[in-house]
Amino acid sequence: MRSYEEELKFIEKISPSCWRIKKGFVPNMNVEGVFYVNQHLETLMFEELRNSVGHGDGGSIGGFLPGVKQIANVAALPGIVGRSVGLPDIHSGYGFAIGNMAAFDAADPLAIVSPGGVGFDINCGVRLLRTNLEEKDLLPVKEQLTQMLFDHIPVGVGSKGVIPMNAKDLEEALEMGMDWSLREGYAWAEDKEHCEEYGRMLQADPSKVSMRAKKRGLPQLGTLGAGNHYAEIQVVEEIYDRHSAKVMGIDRTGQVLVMIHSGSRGLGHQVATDALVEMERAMKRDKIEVNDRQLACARIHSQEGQDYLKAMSAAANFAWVNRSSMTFLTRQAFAKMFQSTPDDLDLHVIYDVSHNIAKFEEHIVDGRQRTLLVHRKGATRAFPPHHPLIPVDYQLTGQPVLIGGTMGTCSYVLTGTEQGMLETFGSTCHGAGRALSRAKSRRNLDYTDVLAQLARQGISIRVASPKLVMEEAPDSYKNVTDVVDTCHAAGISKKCVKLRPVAVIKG
Amino acid sequence: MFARKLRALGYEKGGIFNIDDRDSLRHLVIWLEDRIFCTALPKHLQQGLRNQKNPQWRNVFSEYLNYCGCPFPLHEDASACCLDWLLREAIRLCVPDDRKQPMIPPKREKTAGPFENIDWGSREFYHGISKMAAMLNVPTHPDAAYLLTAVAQVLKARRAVGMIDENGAELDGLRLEEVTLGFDQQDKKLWDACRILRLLHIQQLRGLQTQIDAALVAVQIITADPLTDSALGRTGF
Repeated sequence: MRSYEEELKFIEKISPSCWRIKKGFVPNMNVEGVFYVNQHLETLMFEELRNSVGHGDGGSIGGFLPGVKQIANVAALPGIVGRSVGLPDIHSGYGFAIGNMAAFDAADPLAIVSPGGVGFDINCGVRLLRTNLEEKDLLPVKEQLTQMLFDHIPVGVGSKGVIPMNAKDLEEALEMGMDWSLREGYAWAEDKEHCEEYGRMLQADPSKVSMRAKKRGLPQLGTLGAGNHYAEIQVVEEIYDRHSAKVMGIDRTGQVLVMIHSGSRGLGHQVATDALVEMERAMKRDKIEVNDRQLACARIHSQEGQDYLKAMSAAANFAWVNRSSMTFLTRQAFAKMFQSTPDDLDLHVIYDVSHNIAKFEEHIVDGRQRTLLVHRKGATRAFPPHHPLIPVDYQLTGQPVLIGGTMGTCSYVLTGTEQGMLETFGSTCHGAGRALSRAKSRRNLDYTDVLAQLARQGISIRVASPKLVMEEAPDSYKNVTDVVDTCHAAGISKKCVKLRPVAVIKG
Repeated sequence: MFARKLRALGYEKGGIFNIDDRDSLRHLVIWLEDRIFCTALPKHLQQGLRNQKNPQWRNVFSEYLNYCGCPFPLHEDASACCLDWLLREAIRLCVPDDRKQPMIPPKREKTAGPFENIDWGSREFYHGISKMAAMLNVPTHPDAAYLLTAVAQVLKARRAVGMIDENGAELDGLRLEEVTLGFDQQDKKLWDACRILRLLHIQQLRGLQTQIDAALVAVQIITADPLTDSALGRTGF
């Protein structure tokens, strides 16, 4: 077993905010790994590695390997191209670290798709709505509005949606994604325009989604869920890029926005669980060797690989319908509170990003255009200006990237850059990223302190389960500003707007 | 192929209608004219069409279609096309839809609009349009029609910017030289031309996207019926 100092020989700083993991750090690495951190995040990252040295089971603590090892293990997967990339908010996850992106060559018959590279909450993502309200319009009614939002959007584990749905509707929603919401009148045409993939993965096939997954998903449509999911009313704190902000409809500090962070609920979780079972079988059959058994995977073009991609796409569509339904409920709540219409309140979707997904994309690798299956787990797509897959309104600014903070901390809007396209296959961070495990947070923090702290900051909060609040307390997470500043400094995305929460609803 | 349209129109013999059956077709055409179109037909057409036994009926029908503005000629094998067109027109008239003007009667008197009496070549017109051009900073041109086209385009673009402004997508404060293109070009003039072309292309795409949005909204008018039932909802834990 190597000592910590020996491990460090494989890690080299290549720029002020970027480190390289050389081949040989873990066995069978096909490409190198890379991660982006600033000085503060760097300490956290190396501490995690140091703590893991000497532990049995390859350095696994609590069932998870340190982030650096996970990046390297992903670099050892068959068919990976470029580099296995760790983003500043990286923390250990199932197989892939959360905050890890990896691209696999679709033309390589050995290349794989891995559910661990997408995550259990398929198409977990963030949506940002703007309003024409100002903070001063909000303050007198803040508590009522928070309550109204809480009354409209069901939250928490086991919550049930208010949008009537039967099994046939669900099948259609899984296939059509936001087109279903549009058809039924829950979404506006402009919402679809400002959504990654236009809110619909075309390869979705509901027949590949198990009955069990559908049963879990049916009552949950239009619910926020628990964990780190939230709906937040935010105000613009600072604008860094006036032109890009203006294009997004953000033109002054104090402007009120609404951020919704949610995913595919139990349906996505079940799709991932089902796929992991299938893939373990496929791995044995196709003799796929991996460094960590959590990295269950199948060849992209195998039956299991294709089935997973189709089911994952259906789950992604479910998540978009889910966020669209919550957008609808938010619009209703605002319209009631301000006795106006959503249209008059300018409640438009600025953008909707997905940070747990795998997609086929065209990228230039070694000077050649190639179709890659890009896995982004806890990583957000950040395409540069002029990319054909971003909405026409953002052609000059680059794709808006929505970075949700944690309860009580700031959130950011970034834009995609050309450099990000070259270095990270057009990917950037997704949020704060955990610093303490959930269990550790529960032990170390008291929920009454957390709530009192939020009250001191003037943030209204409604939670379905106060006792889970400490898991999501800001202290459990890395500082989102550190994360965003690192991405900005590395040039993989560009800071545009900083947002401050004034009201939160959570599971 | 006509069953659904006939049912929509409430044609009682819709279930047994057969286009190849002479009497069937004639009966339907007369039914449509009497019940739905009620066109102010010339006398010979009115009588000719109603006489089902008329050996010249097909010629009368052809003339009738022509009179109604049917775009398809009545060939041997084109009866289906013509009949389908008639049925669509009938449905258009029956289904209340204030966005569409009925196609029948097609021959309408030309109305004198505000532009009817303008003398495009007059000195007065040229003077007016030049004044407008000066206000909008459009370079002048000796041909009034040419100048008018330019002024119209600028006005349209201004309106578009106004609309985009509402949605927050105005090219606010962005100077031409700040537009990046993702490639490099040494020649300054060529470089600017590339940027202008790209901006025009984006403007065109925006127009297309707006049309797509409008189409979606048009379909939503028919399909959308969002419902919420708060009795279903439950907050967790």
